[in-house]
Amino acid sequence: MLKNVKRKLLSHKLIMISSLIIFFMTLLALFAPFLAPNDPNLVDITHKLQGSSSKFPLGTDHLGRCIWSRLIYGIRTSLGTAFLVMGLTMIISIPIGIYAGFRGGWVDYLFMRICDILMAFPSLLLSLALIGILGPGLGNLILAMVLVQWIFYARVIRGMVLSVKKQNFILAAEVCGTPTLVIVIKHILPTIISQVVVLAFMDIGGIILAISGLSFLGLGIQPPGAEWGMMINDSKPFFRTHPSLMLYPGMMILIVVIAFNLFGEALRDVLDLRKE
Amino acid sequence: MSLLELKDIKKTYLLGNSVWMKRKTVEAVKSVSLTLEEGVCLGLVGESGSGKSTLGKIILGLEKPDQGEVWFQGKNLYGLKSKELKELRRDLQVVFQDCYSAVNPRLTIREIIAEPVRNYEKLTTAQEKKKVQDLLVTVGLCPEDMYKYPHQFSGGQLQRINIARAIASKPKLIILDEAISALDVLVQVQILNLLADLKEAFQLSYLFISHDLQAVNYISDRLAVMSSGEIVEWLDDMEQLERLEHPVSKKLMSSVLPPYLGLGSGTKMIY
Repeated sequence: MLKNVKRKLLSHKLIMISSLIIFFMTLLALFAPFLAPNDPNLVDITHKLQGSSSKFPLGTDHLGRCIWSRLIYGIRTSLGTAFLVMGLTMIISIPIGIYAGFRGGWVDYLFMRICDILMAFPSLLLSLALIGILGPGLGNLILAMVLVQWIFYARVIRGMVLSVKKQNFILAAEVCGTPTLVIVIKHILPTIISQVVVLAFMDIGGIILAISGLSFLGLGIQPPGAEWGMMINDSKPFFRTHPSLMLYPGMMILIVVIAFNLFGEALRDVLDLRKE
Repeated sequence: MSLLELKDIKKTYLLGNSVWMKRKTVEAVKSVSLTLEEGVCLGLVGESGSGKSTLGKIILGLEKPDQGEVWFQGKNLYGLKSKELKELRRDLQVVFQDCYSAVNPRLTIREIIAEPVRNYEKLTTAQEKKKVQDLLVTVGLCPEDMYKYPHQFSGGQLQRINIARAIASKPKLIILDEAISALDVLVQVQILNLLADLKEAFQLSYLFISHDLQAVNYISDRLAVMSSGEIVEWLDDMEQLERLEHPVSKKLMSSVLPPYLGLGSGTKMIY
């Protein structure tokens, strides 16, 4: 089965292209200090709003900072934060989702009602409100997003567990005297994990967008840190005279989000989750 | 002391999930009492929806009955601590109807059969391997099959693997929940013969749940007919199969095809 998946992965064009983009972006982020020609946060008013030159490949912004360097460092913030948010979300929602689904009873009931309440609000609005309470900043942004996101994943995972739980091999394991924890780790987790991973990858794009959106509003990364959403916000006053200032970070967001969305979708096709 | 004793078992399921309205209920099992002696195969027949499988799950400790007690080897199954229950479960095993969903498709046959062994015995890797191979040979498969995955087997072979897992912990009672119903007729006979052989070899008792009177007749020593959650008829001697009187029993009898025209309903299996 694994060999089959590998072959499909390699023959799938979308996966090849999107994973190459993601790989390339990750490389850029990892080696940002070596690849960035200038300090991304170095303010130099004498060089402000310049066009592209050998010193500044994509020109400079209104404070004379190198745009190319800021874009590269921006990958670090965007991808790093997105993966951190997703990781933390998974760490919270997988155990809770499995517990609620497997145990059932009043725990499950209570959990579902909390879900219903939280899902009545649009998630971005809820994150906004939370950041409004906690105050802007990267840490609070991550916290707010995780707090809003986990419930959705936990609910989906609970649903997956419910459908797996009814399978006879779980009953057979129980009759065999296998302890509950072992049943969860050995039978339930491996069965649902591929679906969960696909779900996570399909949502990374959304998270990157949300981070950029919140930073655009000035609620996420604080200056002078480099972040695409914030760069777009910074370039607002110069939109008519220097549209490229807004275009570059916008293009970066577009490329990365599309790459992750395509990757997630292609991954779903390859693993063919409907069959499982 | 009989091996298994059910006292006045009752199980009701709630339908739907409405907070506002009174929920509908279905009485899956109502007031069933039965005893099963050691070394006996009790056939439990009934139409679909008559509560046979629910009763099987109650005996296995998977569904708590609303009322009544399950006594297995002189112990109340639902009055035990989890550790005692685990020990007791060693003597209690199951073979399900759907052989494909009864095994985890991600595990090798070795992992599948070794699961009960690992839970009850501390064996080294080599001993465990030997044991799995022996079990595979016992149920008529090759020792090399233990490296394969479930999807590489046919239904009949997979049911043999399920049986191998069921006998791995050396149980006293095996619940055969429609264990042969999903197989084609020729394979059914093979599996029935295997079950009969294993019963002799390991002094097993069976609770053979089925809707197929012919198969039940082939393997069972005693018979209970179940209809809408109750046991409506008992038979202590399978020779007297013709004497069944209850309408449901008659219906099940008449669904057995005669092997030759003019010989009446088949009480003997001919293949």
